[in-house]
Amino acid sequence: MSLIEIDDLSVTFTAQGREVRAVQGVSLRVDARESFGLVGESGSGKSTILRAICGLAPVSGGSIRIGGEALRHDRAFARRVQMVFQDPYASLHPRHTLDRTLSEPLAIHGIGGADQRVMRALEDVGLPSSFRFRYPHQLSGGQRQRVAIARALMLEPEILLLDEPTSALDASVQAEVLNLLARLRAERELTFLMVSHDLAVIDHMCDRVLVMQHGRAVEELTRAELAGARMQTDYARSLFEASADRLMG
Amino acid sequence: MTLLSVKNLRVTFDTETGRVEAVRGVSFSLGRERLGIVGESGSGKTMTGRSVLRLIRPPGRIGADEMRFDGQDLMRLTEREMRALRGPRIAMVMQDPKYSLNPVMRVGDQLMEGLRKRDRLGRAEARAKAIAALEAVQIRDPERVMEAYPHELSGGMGQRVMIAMMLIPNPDLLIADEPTSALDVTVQAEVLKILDDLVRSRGMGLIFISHDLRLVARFCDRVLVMYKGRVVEELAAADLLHAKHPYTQGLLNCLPRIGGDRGPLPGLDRDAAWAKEV
Repeated sequence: MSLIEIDDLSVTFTAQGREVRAVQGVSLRVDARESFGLVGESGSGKSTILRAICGLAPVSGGSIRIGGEALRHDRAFARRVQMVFQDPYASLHPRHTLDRTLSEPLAIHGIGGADQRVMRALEDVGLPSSFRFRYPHQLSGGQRQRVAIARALMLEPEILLLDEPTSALDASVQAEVLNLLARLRAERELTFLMVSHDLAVIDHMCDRVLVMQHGRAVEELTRAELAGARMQTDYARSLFEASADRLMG
Repeated sequence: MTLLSVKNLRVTFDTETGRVEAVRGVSFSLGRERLGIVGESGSGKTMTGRSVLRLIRPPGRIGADEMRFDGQDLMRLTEREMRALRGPRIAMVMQDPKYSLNPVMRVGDQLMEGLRKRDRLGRAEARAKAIAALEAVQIRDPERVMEAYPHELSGGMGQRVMIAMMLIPNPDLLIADEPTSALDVTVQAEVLKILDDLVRSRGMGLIFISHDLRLVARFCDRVLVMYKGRVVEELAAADLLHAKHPYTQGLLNCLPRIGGDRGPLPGLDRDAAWAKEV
């Protein structure tokens, strides 16, 4: 049994009487402690899948199961599954200090020892403890994304949903955040479901990848197939060819 | 032939907490070629690009020993003379079409505005030119795009509209500041190819500003690598893999690679000595 089982998932939005089928019949399996990537252009539905898992997008067909159980968005779910969003400038409350941002999940779940936990969380993501009472606007983009990761880990979840966690960051800062994610995954035996439009980032972080286009699954590739350019579909190949790291020998 | 030459450019901001030097003694010259400027956020690459158009507002100040464009001393021109250069001679494509197109004006009207006001063309003629410009950036249904508002276009389309707009007066120098970093990889490749073809076929000079070294290496002839307001290395794009400066090497090595070994990505060493003026 896989930890995340998605079968024939469809997500349909209705906007001004017009139906937009963001995800159409996508199935995937992610095993415990595996790192799985979703790749595709804007509008391919890759982020919508993560949002559907969290209950932020309406599931109109198919099923999502976590650990064999049908999805229920209760407190137990929040302790198992957490999400890191793309834009660290938009995903942190601008008028809450880091201390408040990080201790809020603990308060909601009635977990004690907030003081030590917040300090440890800052240390785990490589931020100095002096940052504890700062506001997001006093941090750089990379530092903010570290806070978003720390917040997602406060409840010690098994599964981390990562929605383009580094695409708003400079290349050098991206490397630091990717290293942090890889280290945390190894230390805490986390399962990753990661969305990116950058195949090189997905290849670096993930064991398997699903290529998506226009809301549909195009092709699933293992890491070896990706590195060896053994893709079957033209679309997956065009993404591979366009990937920036192909531009230099 | 030198189109633009810049010697010892400085951009200084006097703030309440003291003086901040965003650009410190940058020199380069440019012919009808493609020059890339690369660096992290805060390295001064955007400020360098904006300085050429003198688009830095107070409290920012520009200083330079020389800044000449096609024989004219940019430091001595009046604001009125600068306006005559901006657009027709030197154009700039900004990073994000969402923030740089007028959100409450139809694309067609924005494209025709310059043609009507600057070139004093009639409505029909301006419209024909605007449509031709959209076709040049490979927009398939220019009639629809002319009637659209910016929010009705995708990011890639918006960026093409911006490029079309900048290229209408056929400038001699195009400054592109992260023109594709808001776009998807496949769209990015398309937009860059369009930009590249237009720059080549019209024989323009191009300053391409980006934080992505690999992109710059592909689309430029020469690359300036900036760190904390200074140029730490200048080299031919073809020699990038043999870069000597540790900062340039660090920028290259910190990028993940398809088929790489998945070990931790090397962090970027930042040595304060690199930022020192020699």
